[in-house]
Amino acid sequence: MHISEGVLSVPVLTIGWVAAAGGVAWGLRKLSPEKIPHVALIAAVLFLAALVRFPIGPASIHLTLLGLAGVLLGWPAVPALFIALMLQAVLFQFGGLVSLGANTTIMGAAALSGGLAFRLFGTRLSIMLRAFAAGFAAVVVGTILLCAALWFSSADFRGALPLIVATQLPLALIEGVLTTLIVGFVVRSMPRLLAS
Amino acid sequence: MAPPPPSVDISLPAAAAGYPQFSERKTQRHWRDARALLLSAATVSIALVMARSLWLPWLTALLLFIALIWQGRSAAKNVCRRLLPVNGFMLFLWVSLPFTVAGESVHWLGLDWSLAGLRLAALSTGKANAIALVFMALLGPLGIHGIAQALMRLKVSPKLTWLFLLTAGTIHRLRDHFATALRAMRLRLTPEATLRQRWGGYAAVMARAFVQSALRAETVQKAMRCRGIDPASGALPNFDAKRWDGADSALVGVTLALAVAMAVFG
Repeated sequence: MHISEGVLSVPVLTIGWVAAAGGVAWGLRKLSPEKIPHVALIAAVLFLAALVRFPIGPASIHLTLLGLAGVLLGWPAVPALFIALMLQAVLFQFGGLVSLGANTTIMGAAALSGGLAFRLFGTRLSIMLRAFAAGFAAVVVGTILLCAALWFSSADFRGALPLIVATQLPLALIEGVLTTLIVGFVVRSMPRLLAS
Repeated sequence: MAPPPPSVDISLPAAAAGYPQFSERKTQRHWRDARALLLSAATVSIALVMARSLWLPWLTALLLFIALIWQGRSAAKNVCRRLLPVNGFMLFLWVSLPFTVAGESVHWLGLDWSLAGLRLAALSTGKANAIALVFMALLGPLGIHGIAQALMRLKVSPKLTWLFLLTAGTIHRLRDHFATALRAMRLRLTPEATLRQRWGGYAAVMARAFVQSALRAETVQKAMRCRGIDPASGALPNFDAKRWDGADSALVGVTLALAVAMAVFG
């Protein structure tokens, strides 16, 4: 869900930056100054948790935990993801400044959709089902936006999109399950973390 | 049966290179204003993204690779290791584009390889690696405080700069603690543990990290209030760093000229 530099076209990169600027500005507006340490520390754990290799049979995968970011942070997840992606670009040369806008838009929208899926059903669904929906929806929305970015960047990428979808759908199920398990533990130990 | 051997669970790309500094030797770039380095890196990156010819990104990548090694700022192995994660997505392009892009193809190893697909994969790989090397060369020595200083002087929102400083500092501090918790959890799992138990173990470690971080955030917030720090006021740590001078203007001017030349000829 993280597009490298040199892949997207200039119009897509521009739109990505404009959307990211709007999302980051709105996220900062929603972020009260006293909440900055909370968002920063949760974002740091999300950053580290996304680097953990999860065992899947003989192989392992990295998770995104974008749905969980949306559930725990809400709108401030967008500036938090912007910072995380900038750290990856500037300190680890993973991604880059030019594609930072598009990547923030894709991952920010995915996190927001996860948070929305969690809150949308209110108390009508159990918290576990809502957590699963958050993890699942975040990956699905992120994949749709990733495919859209590649689709509009070059007609040459269009043939490769089914392969991306095929690899992301199992990940959506795994993210849903992991988000459910993590939210389950958080509910038992510190429920106010979800309320905030 | 013996328990599974402990392994390093967190694969930060910079794990072996040392977080967050990349440079192994102090160079003149340490005394450049961080804004000049950030602007230069962004300018050259934009020019490389717009490149249409295959030679420009690959030549840039090669020259920067040689320059980094020649300057003695890093070993070739170190540079290559840092380029590995960059090429993860590129690998996907190399296995998909030669078979999905239409056009003239060549038959090799029993498969039909699209020439246009191969060219696009090579172009994207060249751009990604060249841009990563630009970042290593210009921003590698900066570290967290250098980048925060650049953000502050570029008049980025103080909230965002504080978010950057606190997130980056926490990642650095939490990393070893988090890796130890994961290793301990792995050691506690028996080889007969089911997939659900294993995933439950991972989820428990992560959930505990979230809860502990939330509690610590409350302490940090109180400490900031006690010290009179207001993240919204624009009051940021006073970095004792070099101010913009003629050499910084020259650096930005040269990179801008280089970027224009790349856009015209590349």
